[in-house]
Amino acid sequence: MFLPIVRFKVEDKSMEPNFKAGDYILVNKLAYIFKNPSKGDVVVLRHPKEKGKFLIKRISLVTNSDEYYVVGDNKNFSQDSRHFGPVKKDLIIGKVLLHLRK
Amino acid sequence: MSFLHSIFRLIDKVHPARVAYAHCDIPCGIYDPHIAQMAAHTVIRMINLINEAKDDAHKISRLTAIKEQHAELCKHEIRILWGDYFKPEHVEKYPELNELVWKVMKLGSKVKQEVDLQAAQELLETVNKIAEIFWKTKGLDTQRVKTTFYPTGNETVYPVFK
Repeated sequence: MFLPIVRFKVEDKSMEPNFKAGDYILVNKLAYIFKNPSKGDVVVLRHPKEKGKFLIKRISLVTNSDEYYVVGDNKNFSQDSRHFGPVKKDLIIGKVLLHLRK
Repeated sequence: MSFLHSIFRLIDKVHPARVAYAHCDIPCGIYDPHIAQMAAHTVIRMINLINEAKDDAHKISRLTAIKEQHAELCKHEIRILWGDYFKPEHVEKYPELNELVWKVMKLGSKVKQEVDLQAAQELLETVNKIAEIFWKTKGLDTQRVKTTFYPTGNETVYPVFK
């Protein structure tokens, strides 16, 4: 069954202080069908190196070749594009639509 | 905790939500160049003692073993700082960083292969320079202290706590 909106629970601390472990988010999987992610969007994406793992990060830069730099808000405690490089759009699941704090 | 959050927690019991990691690869945040600095001091000390040991084969073997270990420890600790602590923006700000790390790797091997006091002193100095950059990234000034409390007496870089 395809659900356009999926629920994720946040773990770890790379998005603090905005998103904390235990928070819930609703992710809109259709957000980027007709438009591309833009700078500042908080997105859920597939980890480019670890299969089956999802990450929540913020788009910090869109490259000329339509690749996306995703970075955690908590820069000292985040593994992101600074380590694994920019990601392609197909790794991005969708945009965070709703945030429910713990 | 909001009402919706509670509802989601209830849903989780029946159908757990997938997890979106704000992944940090356990950056435990515990980093310090001091171990590398001490290891470099130890290498200098071992070379001095080897030079004093004359023909005592047993003594030289023991001193050489420690020299070998600490040269490796020094390389290991710098590798951790470089791989796990320093970020691309640090390298951008301190472009000499990569070269300094590379130098530690080369000098670390040289002091294992030879009994070369000058190389060992250069190793310590390179590690000190990395320590200066490390503490700057932490927003701390540094000072060079002549370590009269070590038999080596060489300089060590320490952070200055305000």
